[in-house]
Amino acid sequence: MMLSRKNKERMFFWLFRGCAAAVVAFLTIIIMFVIVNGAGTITWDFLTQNPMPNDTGALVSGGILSPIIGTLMLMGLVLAIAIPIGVFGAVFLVEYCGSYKWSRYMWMTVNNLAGVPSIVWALLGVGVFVYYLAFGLSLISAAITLSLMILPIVMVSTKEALEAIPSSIYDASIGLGATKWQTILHHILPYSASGIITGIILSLSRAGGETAPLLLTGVALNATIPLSIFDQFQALPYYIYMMTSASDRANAYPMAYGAALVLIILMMIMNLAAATLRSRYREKYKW
Amino acid sequence: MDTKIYKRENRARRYAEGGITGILGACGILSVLILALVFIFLITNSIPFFQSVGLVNFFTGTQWDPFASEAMWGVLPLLTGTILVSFVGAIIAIPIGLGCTIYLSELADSKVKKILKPAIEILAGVPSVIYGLFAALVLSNWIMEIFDPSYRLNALNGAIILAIMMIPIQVSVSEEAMNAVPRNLREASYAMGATRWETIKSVIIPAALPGIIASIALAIGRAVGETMAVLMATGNASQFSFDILTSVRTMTAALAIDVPEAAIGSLQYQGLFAVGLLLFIITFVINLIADMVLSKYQETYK
Amino acid sequence: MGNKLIAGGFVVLVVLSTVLAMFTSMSFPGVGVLNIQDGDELSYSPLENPEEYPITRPLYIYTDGVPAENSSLYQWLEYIYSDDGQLYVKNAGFYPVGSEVKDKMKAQLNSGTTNDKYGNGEITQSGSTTLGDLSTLWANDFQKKYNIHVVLNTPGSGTGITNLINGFVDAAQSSREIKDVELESAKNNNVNVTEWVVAYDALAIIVHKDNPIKNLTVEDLKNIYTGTYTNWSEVGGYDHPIVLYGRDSASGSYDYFKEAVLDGESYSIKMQQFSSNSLIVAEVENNLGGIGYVGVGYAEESLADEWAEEQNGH
Repeated sequence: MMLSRKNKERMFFWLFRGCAAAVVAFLTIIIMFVIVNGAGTITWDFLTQNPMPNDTGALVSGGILSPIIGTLMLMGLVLAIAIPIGVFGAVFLVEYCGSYKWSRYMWMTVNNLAGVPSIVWALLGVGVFVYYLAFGLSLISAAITLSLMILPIVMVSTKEALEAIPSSIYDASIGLGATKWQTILHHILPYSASGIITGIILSLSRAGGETAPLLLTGVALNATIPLSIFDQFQALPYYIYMMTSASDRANAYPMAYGAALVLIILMMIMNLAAATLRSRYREKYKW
Repeated sequence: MDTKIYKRENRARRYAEGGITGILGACGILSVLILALVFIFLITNSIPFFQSVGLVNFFTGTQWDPFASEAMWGVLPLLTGTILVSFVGAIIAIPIGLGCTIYLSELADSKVKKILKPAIEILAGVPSVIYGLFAALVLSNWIMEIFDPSYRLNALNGAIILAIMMIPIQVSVSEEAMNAVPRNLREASYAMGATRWETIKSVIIPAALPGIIASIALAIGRAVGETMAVLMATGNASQFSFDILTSVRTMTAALAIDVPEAAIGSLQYQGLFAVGLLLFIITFVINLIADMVLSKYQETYK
Repeated sequence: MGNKLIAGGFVVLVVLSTVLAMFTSMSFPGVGVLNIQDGDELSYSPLENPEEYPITRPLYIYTDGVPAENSSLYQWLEYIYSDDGQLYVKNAGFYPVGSEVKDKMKAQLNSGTTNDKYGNGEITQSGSTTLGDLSTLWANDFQKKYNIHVVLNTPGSGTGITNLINGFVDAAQSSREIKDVELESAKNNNVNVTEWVVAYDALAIIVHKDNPIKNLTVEDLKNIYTGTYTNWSEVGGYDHPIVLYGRDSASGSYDYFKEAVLDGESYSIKMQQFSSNSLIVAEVENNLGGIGYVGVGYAEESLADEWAEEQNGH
């Protein structure tokens, strides 16, 4: 039976709509499960107390204060370490080396390094920072490892933001007598700022959600808020992982969902901020 | 006299310019060096292992048990674990992802698109441990009820959750590719009397094909490199098997489980670096393919 | 396509997901705990007769030398052997050290040493997950009494010992004895390994609560876990495949079970490997053919009501 062209089209189109619906369904179900199972555990106590043991020792009482602070501290350290090197490094490589032939191959390499699995970065972290540089199992070992992991991402997004600017702006500035650095500082960077900042926010949110590097470089079960960068620490993704393997599951699972909900909210806020910035600046600097 | 001041200012500015260039240059060199560090570190730590255990043993052994008194160093169980969950995941994800992409790019009207597209991009950023949570606590039970496998945590659980994680990446990248197909190509096709579906099938998809292939490669690369979700979903029995309903251990999970236990510098440590090197090479090749396909495609459309 | 239809469809999806999430209940039916007999002896329950139970093991803490009297590590060990400390051993479901062992450990602690490696600040301890809950109780109480923070990490006994050898932590907690290779390694790293027995654990063998088998011999257990027996009918149960659950290689329980039950032979490769006791409980609970080994505290917590009643009936 030959379907008419129109009916064939209709059939396929419904198939595609179905696919989109399936995708939305998967993701909605997962999010709703987290919300339904986790919302009940989010109280003021939950957010302001450290994890505490119940009668048999499982850390299912108390709250998630140290994991939240740990994650925020990690993101802060990553911001301080990876962003300057990544952004300025990319600016240099684009503006000063862009014309060289090896530049293309180098960026291809950087792009690929953005796809290296997080566990491989963790291997590096253990060998170089925990052991060789003797930072031990600590916040700083984890933070440097995460910084390395997102460095390629920051560099690539900076490069893309810089390359989106038409060369006419650059030429006009030089033509008016400005030096290269003045041009970059006063003309190129402001226009690309939104793209760069978006890249920064997205990289930080990626760093905050990673677990594998932390497992190998310094998380502790009952860590409180770290007082020095050489202390062990807690973090939201690790807390969630820990709660899925803790005893007293009737209490542990809701805590896991609650922490997952907090983590998702944190990530959502960051991603929404990035998206808003991107669209606002896009409107402001139109050329 | 004016020229003297002018020259002095000029010199100061040039020094400042040089200094700043220097700082930027240092950052640039630093960033490239750091990235080279990974590869070098992986290689230097795996070479002693290959020298003592040998490539053949590593690539053809069917048991992975580095901490046993009779250590077994075959990477095949881990490799098949990774391939099993990634490929089955890809088989599930690619058709659904493509269908979703076509909908998003061609069928959705702009209001729906404006919400759906950023929503999918945001969902690509959900931390993997949350997917792992869902797979371990909920999805595995559903699979138990439907398939009644002998293991609750199995490769299928891992494959499905990986598929769910792969779809947003695949959709984002290929949607941009389809969007970038020039309007005149579409209009020419309509002008010749093709229906929308025929246009999509014969004009748009072939034109966007490099981008689509790149998106698939990127998604598979992400799946191969995923650690937490499979660690929590697959049960981690390191056995050499192609049975989708049995427990498997992926290369990433093996690293997460075994590395903390290995004494620094020991044979196990080096053996795990060898697994890490293999993983690095596999993901590097996949991403390289995606990159090459994409850059060729961009040249065509410049 | 009507946008209103799509929006409406999405709302329906959200409502359905919510309902699904609310009604996917988390139920924990519990597991059964087997009585084990060694050869021709009587079979004993780990919950009632830990002394006669054939697979009871000591739980250890390892340090680098005996800590000096003014260090926080000294206080920590002293606390563990105090009545408070040993009370928490019971709370966690394990068995306290007998007076003989306690005296021996206290003597070791007071053996006078000039090891001033340890300060009086924070203590880091890493290792066994079996000891995880117990250490957490200790650390919590210790903090309240002495205001010293003990930072715990549970990647497994083997990892804990490795951490001690590498110098990353002050103490290792372990559910198995240290191996000779590890002692060698420690010597090479100038670590003077000192052993402290802190509690006893009867390694419980758990099965699905509907499993009709109530006893096994150690020999049966060995055959099951090496993969020789693959069906419950071979030990007198229903015709159902045996599904093996155990720990991963970093775990002290993994090593102890291998030594004590398997006589050093390898586990069947079909055994699913988990990083904690509770994960094993979760699996065995859901799998009719499942069998697993966990610390007795974890088994007791998850004992199915039916099995508890039967035990009380004895």
